[in-house]
Amino acid sequence: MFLPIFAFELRYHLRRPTFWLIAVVFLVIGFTDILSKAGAGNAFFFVNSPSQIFQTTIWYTIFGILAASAFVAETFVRDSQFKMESLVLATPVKKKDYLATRFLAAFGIALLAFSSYLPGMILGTLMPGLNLYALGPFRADAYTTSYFMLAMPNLFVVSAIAFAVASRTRSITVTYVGAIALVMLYLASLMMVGADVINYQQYRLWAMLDPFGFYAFEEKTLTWTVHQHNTLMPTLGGTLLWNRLFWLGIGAGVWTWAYRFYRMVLPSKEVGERASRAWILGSKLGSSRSPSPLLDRLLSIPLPPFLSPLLPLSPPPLFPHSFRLLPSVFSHSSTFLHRAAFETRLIIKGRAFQLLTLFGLISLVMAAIGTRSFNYSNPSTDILVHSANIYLDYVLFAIIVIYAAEVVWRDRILRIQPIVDATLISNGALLLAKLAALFAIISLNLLLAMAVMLGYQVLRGYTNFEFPLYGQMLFLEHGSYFYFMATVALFTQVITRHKYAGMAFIVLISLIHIPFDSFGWYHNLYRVGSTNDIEYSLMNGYGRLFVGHLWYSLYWGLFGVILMFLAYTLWPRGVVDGGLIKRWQWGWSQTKGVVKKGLVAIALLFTAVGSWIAYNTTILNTYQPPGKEETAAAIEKKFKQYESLPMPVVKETNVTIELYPDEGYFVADGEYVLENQGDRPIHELHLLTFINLELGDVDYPGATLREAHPEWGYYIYDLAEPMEVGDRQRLAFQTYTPKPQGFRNHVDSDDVYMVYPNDVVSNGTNLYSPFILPFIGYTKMVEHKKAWLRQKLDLPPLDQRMRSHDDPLGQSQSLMVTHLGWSKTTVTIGTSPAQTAVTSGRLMEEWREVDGRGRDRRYFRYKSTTLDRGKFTVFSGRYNVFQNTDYRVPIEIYYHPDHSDNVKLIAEQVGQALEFYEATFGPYPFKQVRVAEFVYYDGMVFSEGGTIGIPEVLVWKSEAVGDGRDHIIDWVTYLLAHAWWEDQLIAADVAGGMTIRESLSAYASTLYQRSTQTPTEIKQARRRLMRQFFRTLGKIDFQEPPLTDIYNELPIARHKGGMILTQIEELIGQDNLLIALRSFLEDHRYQPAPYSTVLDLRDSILAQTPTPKQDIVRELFEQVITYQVGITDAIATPLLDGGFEIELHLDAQKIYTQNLGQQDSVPLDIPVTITLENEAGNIIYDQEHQLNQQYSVVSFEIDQMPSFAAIDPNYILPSSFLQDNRRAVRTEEKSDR
Amino acid sequence: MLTIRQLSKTYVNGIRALCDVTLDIDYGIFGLLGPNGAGKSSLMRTLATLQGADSGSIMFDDIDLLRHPNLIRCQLGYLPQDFGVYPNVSAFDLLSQLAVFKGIAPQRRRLEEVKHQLNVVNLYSQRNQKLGSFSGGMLRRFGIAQALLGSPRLLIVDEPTAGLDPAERIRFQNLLADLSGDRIFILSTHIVEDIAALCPQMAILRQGHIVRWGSPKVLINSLQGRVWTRKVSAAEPFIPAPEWSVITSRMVQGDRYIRLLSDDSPGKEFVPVSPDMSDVYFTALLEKAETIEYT
Repeated sequence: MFLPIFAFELRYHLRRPTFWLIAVVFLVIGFTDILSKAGAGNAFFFVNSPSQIFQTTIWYTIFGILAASAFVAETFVRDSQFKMESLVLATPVKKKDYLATRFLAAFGIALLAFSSYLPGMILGTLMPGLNLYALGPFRADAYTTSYFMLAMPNLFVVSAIAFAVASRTRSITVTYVGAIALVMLYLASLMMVGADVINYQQYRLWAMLDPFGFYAFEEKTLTWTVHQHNTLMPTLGGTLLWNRLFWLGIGAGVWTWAYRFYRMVLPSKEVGERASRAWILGSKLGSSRSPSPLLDRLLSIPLPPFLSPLLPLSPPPLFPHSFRLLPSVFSHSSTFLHRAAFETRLIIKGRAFQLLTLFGLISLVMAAIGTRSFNYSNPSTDILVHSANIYLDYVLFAIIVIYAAEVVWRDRILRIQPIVDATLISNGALLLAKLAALFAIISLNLLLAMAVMLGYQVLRGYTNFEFPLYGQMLFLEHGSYFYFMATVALFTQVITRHKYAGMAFIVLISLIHIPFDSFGWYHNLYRVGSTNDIEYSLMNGYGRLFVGHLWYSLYWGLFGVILMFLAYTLWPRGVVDGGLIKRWQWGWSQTKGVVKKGLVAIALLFTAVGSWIAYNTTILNTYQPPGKEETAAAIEKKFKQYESLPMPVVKETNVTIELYPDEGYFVADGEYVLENQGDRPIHELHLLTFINLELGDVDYPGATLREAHPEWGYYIYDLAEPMEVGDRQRLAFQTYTPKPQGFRNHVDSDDVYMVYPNDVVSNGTNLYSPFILPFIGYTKMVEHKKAWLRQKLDLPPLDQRMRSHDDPLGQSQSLMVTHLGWSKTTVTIGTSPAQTAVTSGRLMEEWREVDGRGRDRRYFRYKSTTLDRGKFTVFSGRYNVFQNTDYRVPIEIYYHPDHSDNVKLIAEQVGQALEFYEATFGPYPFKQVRVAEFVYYDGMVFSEGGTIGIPEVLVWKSEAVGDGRDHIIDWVTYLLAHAWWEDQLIAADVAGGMTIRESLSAYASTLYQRSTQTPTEIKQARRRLMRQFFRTLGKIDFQEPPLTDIYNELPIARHKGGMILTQIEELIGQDNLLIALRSFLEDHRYQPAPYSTVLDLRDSILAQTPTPKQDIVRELFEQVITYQVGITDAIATPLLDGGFEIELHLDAQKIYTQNLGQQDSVPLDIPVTITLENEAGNIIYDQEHQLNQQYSVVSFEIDQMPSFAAIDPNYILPSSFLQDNRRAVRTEEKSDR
Repeated sequence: MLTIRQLSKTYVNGIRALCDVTLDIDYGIFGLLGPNGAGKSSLMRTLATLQGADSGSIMFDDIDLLRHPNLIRCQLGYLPQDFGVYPNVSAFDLLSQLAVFKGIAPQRRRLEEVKHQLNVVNLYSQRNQKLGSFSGGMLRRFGIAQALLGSPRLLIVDEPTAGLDPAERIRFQNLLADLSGDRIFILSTHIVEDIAALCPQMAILRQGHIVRWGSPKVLINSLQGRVWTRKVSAAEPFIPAPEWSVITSRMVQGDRYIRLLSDDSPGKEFVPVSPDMSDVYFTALLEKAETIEYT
């Protein structure tokens, strides 16, 4: 029995186009996914590494569930749908054969169609022209393991649930609801696990909830290095194993339950396709009585009363004649309205929709709760919508796809189509009614999202309800895409005249960006439904980005209208024989002239809007302007030859910067006082400007322009008279950014995000002086350090990543900003009258005047009061100002008026940290501290000359409780510490320069924080820091350098540097370390070149380190070292004297990391602390142990019964795996007793 | 012998589909006649093991049909009134699959059986055609073919001729007549002529009750001398007297023909006629539920 049934099912599916369609979809997805990832180059990550294969497999299974439910559900709905059920059930076929065999076949087919991603991916890796750094060796084991561990179980779970739902309800659509519920569970666990901040306490709980096992898998790889990602095979164990077992159990349980309760008789009248229509399309459909018995008999299903006006049998009482003879506009619109209301009501009353809404509600609540993981944010509207969007993107899209098919095919399935087709109702009314129903569903979902978010805000006591913002974000920013997609979904259903082909078509359209990306086709004019990038900023709103979005939305809106016109002409009314093309031709020939004229008019309008967009995005603005990476590469290629030319250094900067926030540009007129600090005369002067910066008039006595390369911002001037050693000269210059015109398609293809770092925005501008004033000479800063990026940009391999520690030229220049030394700065800023402009230095003057063009202007003049680093950041915004004068210098907070919550805390913490730092490291050099808020577009933080800049998303709107409060304090005090480690000394432009500022600022900040924390809080903070830090290590796109070799690897310099200094503190004592740091600062405070290097810092510490430990300290600077210490077993054996013998099985390794995270472990060379805790939580044992083996057993006796044992209990040793640092002690009676 | 005793079924929505149905059905064709909604399909579905009953019993020879549906299904052929097929599968493939379901496992036997049945219903030449392209009559014949798979001893055919054109209906009646053979063959219909043409035994079902049961000949004979008719011209007003039992009142070419049931002559305009199957059927429907006659 098994074989013939199984074979029939296989043949049945293999003959259906659905199978091939789905197989092709997964083949294409796998193929293009690899192409786009490997083509663009994703640093050193192998796109075909085991962990990548695992991850993408899980991703694909999420899409695979729709396919799996299609096959499995189809199998168990088919007999009912085709009315074959009574034929089949009257045969003696066994339940086992009818259900189990057919399930196996359907599952096998689903697996087969889904599995085409495998050849797709493998084929993708074989394509020519891929980035070699992104391709690893072929790992058959990874493909097979992930297949058996993830793909098969996931598809089984989905298939089992599809089987259960389909065999009970006999409805495909209801089965899709079940599938969507699974996706919602996945999204829920995504929200609850957390995006930025991982919710470790509940991680395992939420990871278990995820049916696809993504988070259970990710838990394994959370702390992996790039090398481990590229080479290691994830193993089945821990949460992943439990997750797999749990969900396989659920799948098997659900399957068995459905199997057991399946009765081999005809379902009662409540079930079956018609009843399930009712389930989908209105629960009352089956029971309401129609006033039209004739229709009843015709249709054999009762119709709700409001359908009858549509049918000629009972014309509306008003204007009967006009209705009969000449359908007036009135009757068209009224039939349309009736019909639209009918369609919508059918859907909304369906239990499927109600269930979807309920699931949606739960997911949205979880999305709302998850928003805290974004920098501990408060529930502000923007962040809520942002996280709800993750839900909407998946679920609302799926709802549109499913219901578009539903509204088009329902009438046919109910066999009501011929009757409706024979009525007077126009195709337009039918089509638009269906569209209106889809629009209503979309709007309801968006409103539901809004209601949930408002409710969440109320619950959280957040009362700043921004209704217009809700409207704008939900309906204009996101909604427009969904409304458009609804027209596409209807259109694909109409033209393909095949339910699944239509669904597959729209899914393919929505994924079109994947192949387009791999070809480098970015213009939104052909990327269906996409608009230019826009992002909401709390201070700046959508800024100028919104204009482009509106134009694109109009463009796609008109395209949607065209699709609807075409769908109208091709509407499948009545029965037309022949192929698809013939049916299209027939529809077109039936279309009235006026409709065709309308279509032409809309098409013309569409073309006009498209042309306007093309004009804006390709003529007014460059379509694909070279990005920062490309520009830097071009500068290196062309101008590296000038690297060793002597250049003067800026000793003084006087500049007037006119900001025009409303128009979006600035003009800077300034002068540098330059000095030749070298040992050779200077014959030529080179000026370099940052991307998007224009250089205006330049005036230097006797200089003539020799070469100008405006596209790369490089200018070479010959000096009539050489600048002799020690000479000073003034250079006057003008720089500006072009006034923005029109809108852009996208900003560019690399790392300039949304706006350029030197763009002026309407509110919350931040301009960093090196980006807006000319650079003097070539700088190594433009050189890309990443080998893969260099290869991608066609640059030769770098012979030297950074200058070596003893390079004299490097030692004579300051890190990154090689043209700046100790200097004095005067900055005058003009801005619009409503804004305050803030920068470093003392505010000398503030005034208002009307400029030459009649514009009211507000001016601020700031002047440095002490030597500064010659760089500054200008902020301008509509600020509120908070002042705190309780400390030695006044503290001023310039904040967005909505963000007042944390202002007091910030000021207080700045003040207290300031006192702490002054007491610990010496005086603060500036007359005030300013903290300013700005838009987040470029994702930077600033601290120059006592003025700190923090973007709007970081600290200002965090909730100042628990970890959120620590997060605020950490950022503010870390940036304040720059006033000691950046503003009072200059790091030389050699390897490891960044370590000085970053590690010392981070260490100073933790030192301050520890002074206010309890031991438990300190431990928690260290745990948190290590977890976050080691999680980022697996995502970095560079090799982790040791502290002495850091270039701009900021997270390493800051966090790892801070951790290493903490470890050294433990090793040599806090007093010794502080003496070392103070002497390091003393030695280099305001010193001229040669500037300080990381080796000076190391040596200052070594000078305070006892000789036996010096090698250890040296190694901590020069090697990448982490640790793994843990307790694998802890046993307490009661002794006769009432004491206990303790036996601890320990894991103690020092791990060296090389290259991309290759790790070698050796025994620990430093003593490690071991503690025991009793039941009350008191420490009853605290000893350092020297462990000479990687795995060892330690035994000792104590007089109390311990509950917990811990190794490295204070988390001193940087370690990626902390769970095993503490372990419950188990009791074991001695066996020989 | 199929023995039905006091079979009752009430649906969840309160409709009493079957009410104390008691019947003995012997080998040969048995016709079940009744108006729409009388409970024919309910009875047929119950006999086809597709639906349970609230009370009563059905024995097929000595097998309890309600208790052991699968034993019955081995000997059952069923053609429901309203059935469908997979439109994109060929007649041969689907029939072969249904043969598998019927337990005809050995491949060679199965293929022979499928071929044979396709020949019986005269669809062999269209065997590779997709079922979606079949006409109503062809589909009905396909239905018969699947019902005949495995030579069932109990053949249940629900409204087989509904919706067929007259020529197709006659062909179909002939086909059905050939199938009686050595089996119980229950045929339900609301078309009186089908019964008259095919069935040696019959019952009439009304509102869930059996109101007539017997051979058509005997049932017709029982009306002998009790059916009267009269022609009323269209111009003439016609008001039936309250005591008359009007069997039918039909317009034929502009004149109204009235048929009455009466033991005595209802009036001088009326002439006696010999009763036919229609008279049996309509008089059965006239009566109140209590006056069930068994003949």
